[in-house]
Amino acid sequence: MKDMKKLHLIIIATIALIATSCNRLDVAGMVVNRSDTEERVADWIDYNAQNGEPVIENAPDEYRIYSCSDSHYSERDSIVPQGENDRLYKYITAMRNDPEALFAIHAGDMVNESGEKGFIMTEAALQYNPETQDTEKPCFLIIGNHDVYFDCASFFKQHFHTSTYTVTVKTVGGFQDLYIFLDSGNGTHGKRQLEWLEEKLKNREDYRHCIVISHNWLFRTSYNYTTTPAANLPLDEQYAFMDMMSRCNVNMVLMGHFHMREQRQFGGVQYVMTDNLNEDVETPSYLMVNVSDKVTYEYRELVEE
Amino acid sequence: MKRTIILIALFFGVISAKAQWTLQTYGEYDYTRTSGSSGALALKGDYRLANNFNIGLGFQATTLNRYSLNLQYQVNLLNAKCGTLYLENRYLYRLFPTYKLQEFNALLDLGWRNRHFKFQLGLASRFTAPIPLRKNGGMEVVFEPMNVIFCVEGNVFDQEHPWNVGARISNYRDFVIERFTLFFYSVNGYYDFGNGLRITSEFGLHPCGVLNLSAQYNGWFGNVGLIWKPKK
Repeated sequence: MKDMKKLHLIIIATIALIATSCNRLDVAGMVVNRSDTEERVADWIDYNAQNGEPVIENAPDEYRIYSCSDSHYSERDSIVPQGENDRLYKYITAMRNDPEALFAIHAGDMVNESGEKGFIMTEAALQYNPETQDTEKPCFLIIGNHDVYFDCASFFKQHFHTSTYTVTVKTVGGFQDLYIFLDSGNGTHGKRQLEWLEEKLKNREDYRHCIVISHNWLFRTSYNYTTTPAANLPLDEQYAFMDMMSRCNVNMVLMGHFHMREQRQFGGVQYVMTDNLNEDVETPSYLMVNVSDKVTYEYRELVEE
Repeated sequence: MKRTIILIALFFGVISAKAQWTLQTYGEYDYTRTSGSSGALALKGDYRLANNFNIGLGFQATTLNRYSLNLQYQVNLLNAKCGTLYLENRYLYRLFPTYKLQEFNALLDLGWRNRHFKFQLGLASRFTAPIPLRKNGGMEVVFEPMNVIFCVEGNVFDQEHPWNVGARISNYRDFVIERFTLFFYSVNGYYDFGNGLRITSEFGLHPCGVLNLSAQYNGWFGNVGLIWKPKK
């Protein structure tokens, strides 16, 4: 009799757990395709064709960019904008108040649950505030795996428009730097995007530096509570991607996804994982990339700001 | 020391008395969205040294200029009515000349099999390195420790039946060891011609981004092969 009660309790607790987590954990999305990379990339490229890709003119020869990822806004987890204490707001403010900074990057995973709310909160946190921020400078974003869950990609499209695009920086000294943003929300870059990438990299020699940004970290070199279930690209695609980065002399690949700091050098390319801005870590941090004749980087903890 | 030498001598004495070969070859077609179509030819030899020990060697070449060499051995730890508990140790070297890249995998797993089912769970570590090795800022070798690997396989009939069909979910195959979250789903079957000759076939899907990512179709594979087990 006692055993039956225990069994009932376990069943009820399990059902309750699934029911309460269904807004955050897209169980079906783990095995069923919610949004296909090929279709999304076609949308992103269409958007670029109609609206053009950003070009930043008259930049100094030496400048700085900021890169963060995995802010995971979630009303359910109370990870919501906290005004001036908000982590994403503090990050964008630090960049806008840095006279040497040109723009910021958010390398994906801005939400953590179903619905549009997380995207609205992200957009609001990134809005220019003339009272606390010196200069209005842009933040370029890409889609992450959590932004695809629950068929959320349509909200990303609505608020941020594209995740496969380039940003060209033209400096006063006549240099050009190329930043390539990619969609790896489904654990693949997809055929069309890789062809697009190859096409963009054909003119690599026209640029001083080339930096590629994609959400999905390539390696499984370290473990913590978030990396254990986290997925990577299929090995064959990863190797093809790494080969392309090396062949085309890409300086740096910036990624997120694993919520930790990591750096690997392979085939002459620096692969750097941006740490996360998630509320559940004590020392959220971001990356400061210094661009001059070389490309160097350093991690900055947000609490320092 | 003496005891160790005696134990090793006994071990090899027992296993050499019961040696038995199995040879396998199969041709495979593989399609992924990002790599496109490819063909592969695989050769595998399995040498059963005793009831409790067998060693295998395999080689695969693909039309995408990829080559793999696999060495493995299995030790049966426990034979019971309900099945066999065994330990498997594999070493897989893969060469990608097109990508100027190579990888070396070492895998250790514990398995249990009976006439209908097979379960395996273990850990695999991987070294990935460019060709040739670069030394600027270190050797540029990426070491991935402790990838969890697993296999769940079931067959309709027992292995002695003249034909069979089954299904398998796993994150590794003969010549690839994927990460924990990238699964291969496959159905397989065989038919015995007699005289130790068996035709085998397998058809499977390999999606990308299964667990922590939103899942998506990525590709499929199919193979047909022969297994020859000479009668004693």
